[in-house]
Amino acid sequence: MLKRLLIVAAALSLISTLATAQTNELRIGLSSDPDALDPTTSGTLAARQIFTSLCDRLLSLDADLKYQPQLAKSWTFSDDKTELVFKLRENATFHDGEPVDATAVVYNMNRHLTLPGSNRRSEISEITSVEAVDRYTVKIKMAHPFTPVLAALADRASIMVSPKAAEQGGSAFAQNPVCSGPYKFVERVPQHRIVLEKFENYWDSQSYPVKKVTYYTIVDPTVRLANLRSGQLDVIEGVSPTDVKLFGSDKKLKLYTTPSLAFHYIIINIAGGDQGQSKNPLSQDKRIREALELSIDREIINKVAFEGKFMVSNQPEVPGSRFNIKEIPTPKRDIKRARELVKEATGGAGVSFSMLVPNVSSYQRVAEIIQGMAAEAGITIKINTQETTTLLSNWATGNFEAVLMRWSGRADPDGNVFSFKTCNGSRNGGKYCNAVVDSNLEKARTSIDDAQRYSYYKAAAEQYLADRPYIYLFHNIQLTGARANVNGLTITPDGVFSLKNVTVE
Amino acid sequence: MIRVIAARCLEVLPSLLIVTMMVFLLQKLMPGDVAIALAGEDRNTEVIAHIREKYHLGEPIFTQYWYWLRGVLSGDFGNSVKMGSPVASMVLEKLGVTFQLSTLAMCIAVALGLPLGILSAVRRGSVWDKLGDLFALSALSIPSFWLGILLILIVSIHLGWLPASGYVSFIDDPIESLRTLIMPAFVLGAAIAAMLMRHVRSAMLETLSADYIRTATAKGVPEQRIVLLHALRNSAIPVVAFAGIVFGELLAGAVLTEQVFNIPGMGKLVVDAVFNRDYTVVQGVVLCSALLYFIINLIADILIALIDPRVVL
Repeated sequence: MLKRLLIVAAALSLISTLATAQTNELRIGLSSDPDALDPTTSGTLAARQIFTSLCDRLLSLDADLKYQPQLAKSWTFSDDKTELVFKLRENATFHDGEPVDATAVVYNMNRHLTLPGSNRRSEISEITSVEAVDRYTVKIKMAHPFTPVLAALADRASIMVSPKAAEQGGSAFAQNPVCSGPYKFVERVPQHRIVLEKFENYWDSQSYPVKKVTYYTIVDPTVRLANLRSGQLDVIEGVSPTDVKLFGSDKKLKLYTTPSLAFHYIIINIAGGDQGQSKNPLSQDKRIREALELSIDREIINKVAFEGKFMVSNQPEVPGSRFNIKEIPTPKRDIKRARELVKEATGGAGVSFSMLVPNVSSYQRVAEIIQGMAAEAGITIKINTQETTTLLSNWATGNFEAVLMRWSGRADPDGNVFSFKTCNGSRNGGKYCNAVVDSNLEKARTSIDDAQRYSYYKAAAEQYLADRPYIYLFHNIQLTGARANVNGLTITPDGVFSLKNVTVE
Repeated sequence: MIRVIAARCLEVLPSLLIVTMMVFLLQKLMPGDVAIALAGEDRNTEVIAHIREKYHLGEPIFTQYWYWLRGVLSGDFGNSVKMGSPVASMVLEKLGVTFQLSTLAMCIAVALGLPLGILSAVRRGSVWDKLGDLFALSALSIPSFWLGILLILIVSIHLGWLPASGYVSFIDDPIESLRTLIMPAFVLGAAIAAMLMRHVRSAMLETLSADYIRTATAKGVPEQRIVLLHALRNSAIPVVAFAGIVFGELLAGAVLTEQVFNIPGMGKLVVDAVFNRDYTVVQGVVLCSALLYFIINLIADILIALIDPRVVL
């Protein structure tokens, strides 16, 4: 009898252990397919998700947007702030067994700076040289103090790949990337999945209990959610705000809501291309731009289009963050004043313009709400829906009057304003140009004191928010869905999942 | 027959050339700058300039086409401009997936459409005929996207019987492969079954009213033998021709079904490539699809000739 009881107890214990055992695989649903898996040439947000697990960088960003050591144990600026010295950890290796040392860092930084087609060069273009001081010390020199360099280096610009593999792989390196992150590359089936497995020799291996990570590309949010609900996926990015209620009613699921650096905004063509100054009613009279902004009720857009989940905002920096200009609060809707402005500017005739909108349902919803609101002020908006590539081309060549767009956001404010608002900025499709803004944004990127930088950004914001070449609408809240048995997932404000300490029970 | 097949193969070459040329030109006529599409979110001006130079985007269209054609003639289909992977391996990989899905969908379509079509024709005007009509109408009217989502909700989420999506190679795991493909194949196959059923029904009705069938009936040949041996064989010609066309279309990719069930097939590949202006991939898929379409239809023609000796290739 006792023997039988013991057998039953042992069986129950085994079943219980199996039931609570951690599974070794994490399946993540991405909303878009990453481009080439080469950190130097890559330009998509989806690839950043992969790189976070696959590749280490010198430093990383935590959930509070603070810089944390990764391959670098520490870093110090020289007194004149033109040199940055990194002390590297001594126990890091690439997936092919090659050491991560100063020589490898110099190789990688030079690769980022010189490889044809590098998407990193512009982020770190102020770097003039990189040299190995000793085996585990690297010195980066800049032409002048350049504060945003740390933010760039905490992103893809300091991702290290194995120099040996990069040389051997050449242009095919992205098909079999070799980095030094907690997971190594196994296979990629384009437009379907990317498989990574745990790198046992990782310097912080014990913090990554999951043995295998598979990223699936599922573009449609409904299909992505269906896969999470059926247990085919463990984590999905980009839950649609309209699906949030479902998470409350299904105990097998949980929802992470993370403030995002990403924001939506209307770009107005001030002087770009044919549709700039000469033809665009919005560029001819800034009272029309003011009227447009005053006609918009951001709170209503948030409630109707996003179930109130997003954060209304009038600036590129996240509300409450250290570089959000608190002195310039988000204006409330003032339809009376908007009507007056349109009347003053047009003599009561009203005004009409077309707005390019990506052929994505969430953008179209926002555009239609704005269209209705602006109509009350006497502004007629013709919505011109275009697929993304066409829209981007029109934006880049100035072939638009206004365009509704999104920017994924950067940790340092420079990444959200400089290239958009300076006269020769690479992302300044509307060709807004103002000497005060240019001067202050230049000073802000070379200043190292936060208070001083804030004052420069404030001076610039006072000018560009009054000129309104951009009308900011809201910051996204990143909605991430997961199975209830996934623990420890952290999502940084730049939208990337950290798999450190993640377990799947 | 071999001479005829060889001649047909030679005849297809100019068609392939024209198809690829037209698709290449149409891609270039599409609005939107390829270089901007490929430069990613950062849209760095230096990177855009580099892409233009690397892919000869500044040169005349016919020069660009010649670069592509020259590569193809030397066996190099180029690399995907977005991912950097070789186009030939991408297309072959997706083709295997699409071939499995299409074959299973065709099996389901034939398994449903053929008996239903025969039954509807033989029992014309009966309740079976009406049910067949209802099936055909429903299967043709329900959008595949909606049917797919509905099946996922019921079969995968509520009943938990089958995986909601994904793909497993038949070689790696035959059971799991069938489990992942059965729902998408049903979604694809149901609509084809409906069309097939209508084709079989009308062909059978025509054959069943022929003199030789009446003669066979008068001679006392059992109905089952008349239907399956005499009528079905003679009704098969339009049905095989239809199946050939449909199978060829399936191999070009079933975009919506692949999207819903997250199957990495040809349809998904070409749609993503068009949106990303990944012209090398589009060209590769078009060339492959056109070739397959030709092969499938050649096989259909051979089958027809075998079924009906009067047909000369």
